[in-house]
Amino acid sequence: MSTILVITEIQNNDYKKASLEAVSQAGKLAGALGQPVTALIIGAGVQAKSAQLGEYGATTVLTADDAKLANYNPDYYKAVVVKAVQETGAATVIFSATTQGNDLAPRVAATLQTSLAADCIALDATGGKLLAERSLFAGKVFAKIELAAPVRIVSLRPGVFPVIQQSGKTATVKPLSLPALESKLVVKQVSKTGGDKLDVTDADIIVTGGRGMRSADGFKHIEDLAGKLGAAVGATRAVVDSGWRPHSEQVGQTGKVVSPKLYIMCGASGSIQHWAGMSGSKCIVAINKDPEAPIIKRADYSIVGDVFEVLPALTAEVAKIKS
Amino acid sequence: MLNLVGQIVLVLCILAATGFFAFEVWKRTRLVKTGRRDVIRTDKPMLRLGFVICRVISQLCSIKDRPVVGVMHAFVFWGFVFFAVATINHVAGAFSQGFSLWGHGTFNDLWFLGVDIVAVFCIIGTIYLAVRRFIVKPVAITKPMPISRSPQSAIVLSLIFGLMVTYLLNQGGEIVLKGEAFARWMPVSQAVAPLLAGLSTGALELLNSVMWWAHILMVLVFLVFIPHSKHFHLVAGPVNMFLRSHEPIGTLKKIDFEKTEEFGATTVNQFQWKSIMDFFSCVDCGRCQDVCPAFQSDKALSPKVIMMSLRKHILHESGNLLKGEAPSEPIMEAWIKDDEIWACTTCGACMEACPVCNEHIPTIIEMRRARMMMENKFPQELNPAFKGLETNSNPWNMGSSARAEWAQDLNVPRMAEKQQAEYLWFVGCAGCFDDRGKDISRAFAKILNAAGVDYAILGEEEGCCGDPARRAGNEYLFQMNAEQNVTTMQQYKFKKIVTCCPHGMHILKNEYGQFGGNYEVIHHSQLIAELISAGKLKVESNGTGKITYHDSCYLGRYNHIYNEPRQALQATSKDGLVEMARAKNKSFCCGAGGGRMFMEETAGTRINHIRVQDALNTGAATVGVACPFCKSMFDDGIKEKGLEDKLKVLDIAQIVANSLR
Amino acid sequence: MKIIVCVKQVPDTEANIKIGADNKSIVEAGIKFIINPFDEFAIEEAIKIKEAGKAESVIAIGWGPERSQEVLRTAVAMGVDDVVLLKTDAVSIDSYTAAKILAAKIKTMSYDLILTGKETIDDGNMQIGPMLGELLNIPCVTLVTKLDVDGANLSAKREIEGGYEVVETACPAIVTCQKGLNEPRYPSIRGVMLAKKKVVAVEPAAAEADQITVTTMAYPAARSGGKVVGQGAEAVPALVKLLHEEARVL
Repeated sequence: MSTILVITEIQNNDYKKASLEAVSQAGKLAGALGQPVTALIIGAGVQAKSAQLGEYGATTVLTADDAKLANYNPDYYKAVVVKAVQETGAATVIFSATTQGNDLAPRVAATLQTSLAADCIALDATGGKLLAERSLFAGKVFAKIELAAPVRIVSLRPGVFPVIQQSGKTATVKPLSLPALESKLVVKQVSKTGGDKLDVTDADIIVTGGRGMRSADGFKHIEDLAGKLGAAVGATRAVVDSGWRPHSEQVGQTGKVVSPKLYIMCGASGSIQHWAGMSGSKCIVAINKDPEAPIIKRADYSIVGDVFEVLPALTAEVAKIKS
Repeated sequence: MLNLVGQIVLVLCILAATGFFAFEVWKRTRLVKTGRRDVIRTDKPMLRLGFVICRVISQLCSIKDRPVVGVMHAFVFWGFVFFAVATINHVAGAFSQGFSLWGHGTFNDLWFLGVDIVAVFCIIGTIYLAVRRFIVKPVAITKPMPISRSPQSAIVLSLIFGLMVTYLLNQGGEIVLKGEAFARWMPVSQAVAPLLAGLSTGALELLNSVMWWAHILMVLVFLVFIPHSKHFHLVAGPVNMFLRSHEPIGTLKKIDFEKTEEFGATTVNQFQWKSIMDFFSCVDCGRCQDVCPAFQSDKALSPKVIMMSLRKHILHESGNLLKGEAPSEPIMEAWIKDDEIWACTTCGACMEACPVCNEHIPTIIEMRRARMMMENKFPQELNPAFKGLETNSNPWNMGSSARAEWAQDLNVPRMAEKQQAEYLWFVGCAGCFDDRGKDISRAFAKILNAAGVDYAILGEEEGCCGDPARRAGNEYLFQMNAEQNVTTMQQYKFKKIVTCCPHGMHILKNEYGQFGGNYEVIHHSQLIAELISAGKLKVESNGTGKITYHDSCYLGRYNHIYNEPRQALQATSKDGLVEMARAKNKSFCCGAGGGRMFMEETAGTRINHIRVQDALNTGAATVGVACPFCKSMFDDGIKEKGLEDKLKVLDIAQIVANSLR
Repeated sequence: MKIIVCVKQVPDTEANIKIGADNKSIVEAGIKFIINPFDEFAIEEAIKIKEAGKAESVIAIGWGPERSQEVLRTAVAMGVDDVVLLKTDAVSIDSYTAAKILAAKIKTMSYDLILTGKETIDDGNMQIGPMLGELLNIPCVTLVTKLDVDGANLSAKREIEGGYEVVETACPAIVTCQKGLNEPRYPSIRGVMLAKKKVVAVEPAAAEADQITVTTMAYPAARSGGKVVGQGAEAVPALVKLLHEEARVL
């Protein structure tokens, strides 16, 4: 019998939240598609947590357990997933659109000679058809799409689908017989310390300070918040010109052009030179004492107030939700 | 009169010196001709000649920016002119005893009186200039070393001084030998005569002879020396004044991309011939760097160094060039550094100040053009600005569909709806996208509506005027912008264009003609002043404190609009208008021109800080500006210096809109 | 070494996207098209490798409708040696179709390295690189922020969650380029002039039917824009809640 195969990810000895979202969504579709849910776990020493996925809607859990699979290698992982698809006869394969999922899903799709509906924000099934929704043109348009492939592969945007847990349910755990694991890729070095200072161009979150931080010392508040958020510190041209921060942190027309998920701007009015460098940010937050500052009108969310009061409070609040 | 041997020696000396001089002049003329020949400067010859005569004879060229030095220079200049004529007499005397150009009547007496007096003033002048150069050492003529030619000046000043001294000693000797009657009209020479009275006749004759020869030889040495020194300006300066541009300062020439594949000046012979003429005319006086915002804020640029370095370079390459071969070296890096050419704000202060009408800006832009278009070497911060101009026709790369968002909820008509209007308001990028510029646009819309002016904007159809691209050397991109705008505006009927941005005004008015767009263009300050004086705009003067006005380069020096902005401000201010120390044609740039708005300013002091200080020194509470870029630069400067409580900056349109009754 | 760069033409990031009357495609009129910004990193990297004397040729392959010739001209202006456009009629969001078109052409060429952007900003798919890797049966390294090529081998620093890793592999290989790899050059005007005269080879693409099709399109709910959460420190909990639950960025 055909099945919905969900590819899960393990992080810090636990399932990624995105994986639980994907299994839950598969569970919701199981009825409509008339297919049970099989979850695939790949890693080294992963059996322990396997049965738990039953609570999220998996009927069966396949484990691919091998020392070689301890870290992600696209060739190994692809071979495992392809084997699982073939063994289960899965007609639907669901990934999470995480860094790993974005790398792995297209390889699996191409190997199975089929297309991939990536980064979906809605997934539904009617009359055996798989319908999805995804954003195009950086969110300017949303499109409903239909998948017509024999094996339908999708990846789901993390954080969009709810996690549905039904305590007590367990899944049947079966080991997957592993395919030959071969790769031409050799990983020479992995760095996950997070201790490295993030560059503004690479960061998902940037906390930027303007002249309103008053001095180089004022940036301590910016650094505290950035540290809690895992964010990079950014600076306006005026700040860099004043010598408070290095030029490498300058965001704007003549500095770095950035497009993070979240951009928090503190004590800066938002001149066009700055705006030109960060207007592509997905979400902009402003903290400024002047309610008339242009940035207040343009930011998605703003707090009118003294940065030296608001920032410590924000840092504390972020610490609360992170723990 | 000399004996035959003397006469032969003299003739040989004169032939050698003048021959040498003529050869050097001829060589420089040929070097000028190796340049590009697109510029024509022989139209209106009488006007040109009149200008040269007035400027040179009055010595206004030298006096206008430095009155004291200029007057001293005038003494030396006039001494030189008199002595040039006196030298002819002097030489003729060698062949014909007692010869004088003017015979021996009263005029001749007056002539000698003139020469005597001029000699004294000339001596005063040379001493003053020597003291200034070698003891006082002002920055203008001694920095940046080693480019300044002080040793040359020492030689020239000594020669001129020597000419005077030898003349007076020679005349003094004559008086002693020939008696007082000879010299009734030579008071100075008479004063010298008693010093020589104790000498024997033989000694006097020897002295006279030595002085006579010393004088003539000094003249000939001077002649030989001139072409190799900055004193070649004696020849090239007046010629260069004749060849001066009749276009507004800083107006740039079109590159025809269909006809050439070499853009700008990579090598020295790719400059316009007029630029090469400029190199030979430079006096090294430093008036340009005294007023240059880049030099004054400790950037690498000095306009005179550009001129003098390129002169040195082209002379160095003269062997190759005169053989018709390519120069052995490119300009950049070997002779001029990138930091120099990119520091220019194209403010035009150098050109305004130059006594010999040199055109520094086109020369600098030619080097930028080559750097940008041929070699792809330009400040990388310009990259996003260029991409923005290309993709969205604004230097911040804001979506072009948002161009008219500032006008939402305001009753601003579109050309697409009206098809015709008296005024086409070309809003410009800053007025459309920059918050500080949008405030100006909104204020001006309020004014136009209040006065019932028949106007319309282009809205989303408008594109960047192209000024930042053109001034940054990206002529290709500028032409894309310009051609698009000309095509758009062709669809509509209008009498005049009005702009809030002096850059847009200048380029539409003076440079779009190169692309078939000939318009009458005025600045919003002109229209506002006109509306106020015609009574169509009722303003009341309110007491917001004293106002000072900052002249934008592209409005003032480029287009000579000085009065209308002041009239508009005066109408609104009860407390009156105070002028900054540097105002009108001597205004100091805000630092944003020439594409500098989109480049980093890391070296030296920030130019806007200097200008903010100028404004602060007036004690005014408000700086009135007439340009969105000046407004941004002032606004940033005021904030960076923490002067928000003391000084604020507003555009004329904002000030007037706030005062509407 | 021979390098192939795959480039796509996409609407400008600032373009105002309007949905067409069919409700399943966008209106192209009025849109300014640009080179996919991530593909620009790929072109720049290829040219840099060539300038370093490590590659003898760089060929750019584009896919898409006729208008895509423009981005290939940009590639030439930047310094690419030759270009070819695999012309398709329809605008597709199915990357597998595109990967097959590209693979079919690339199989007829000789190459040591393929570079392309990590994603195309129009459909946001991050699939072309990995799919090409499978179809051509060569290793693919994605999200690369630093690349060293040494004869037959390459070493790439790539982004992973919470850090980076350094991967080595043998050529031929495919690399997808992430922001941070380099700063793409502004094409020289001399290059632009040459590119204007360049005849772009256009080959009809052997496109198969898409397996993913758009049924309807819609605009997102208007961006909240300018929501003042509150005054001072007491507004902080509300802000964090909004960032967490509404914007989903925390």
